[in-house]
Amino acid sequence: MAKTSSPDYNNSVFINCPFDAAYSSTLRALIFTIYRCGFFPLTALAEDNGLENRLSKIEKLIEQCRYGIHDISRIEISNIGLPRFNMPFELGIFFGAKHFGNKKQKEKNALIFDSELFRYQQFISDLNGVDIKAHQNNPQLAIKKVTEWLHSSSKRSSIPGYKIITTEYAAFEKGLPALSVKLGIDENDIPFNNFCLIVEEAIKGKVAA
Amino acid sequence: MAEIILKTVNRKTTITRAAVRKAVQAVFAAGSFKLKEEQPKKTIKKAARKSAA
Repeated sequence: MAKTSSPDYNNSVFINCPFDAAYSSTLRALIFTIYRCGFFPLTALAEDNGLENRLSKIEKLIEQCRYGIHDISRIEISNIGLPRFNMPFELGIFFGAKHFGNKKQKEKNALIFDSELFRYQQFISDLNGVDIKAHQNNPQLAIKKVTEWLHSSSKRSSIPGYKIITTEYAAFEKGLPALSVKLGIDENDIPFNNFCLIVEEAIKGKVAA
Repeated sequence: MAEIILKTVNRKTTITRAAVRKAVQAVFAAGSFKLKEEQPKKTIKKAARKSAA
């Protein structure tokens, strides 16, 4: 039986990304990888308090997480003719917490994703000189980049190689339709918290026994 | 290699952990997402010899 522990600051990863159907396969791969590396994923989707405004939730989550994955790739104009600024804005809060925060907040570490390498220089030149990774809208590549980043930033020897995680995720994905049928849910519309619960149970035997 | 400890917390979900656990066991127990490593061959041979005797 796997050991479990509550997530703390040093084990929590804030995910700042699009929450639409087009991004769901990448988001699922990110969640699986974070758990499999021994960390805990957090997003604004995890909170469900109607009395708390969205920005307060995000600030609180950023404060709770030492690590952050920020995907700024969604720059397309929406069908109402406007772009979305949420991801770059939340990245700015994360940078601000690291720069102006206390000792603990200064330990923050981020992985910034775009779909193409160096494209960000055309729309957010303030990030010139910052190491941004490209996932090319490919969940397998996102798994590789996240695994390598968590390994190098946390220096934990317990993190498996990305090829192991990629293989395991493929097997997990293959089993997801049957799992959804058993649970009576739609495999294409699994809420964030439910998906996290499924991953937690599925990888239990893979982590500390 | 150091062990990884699974981080978990009670989240607000529309499905129960018990139901998920049961479904996961049913789907992945014998499937390709096998959770436990195989026993080393040497141990299996020794056990087989013992049972044959």
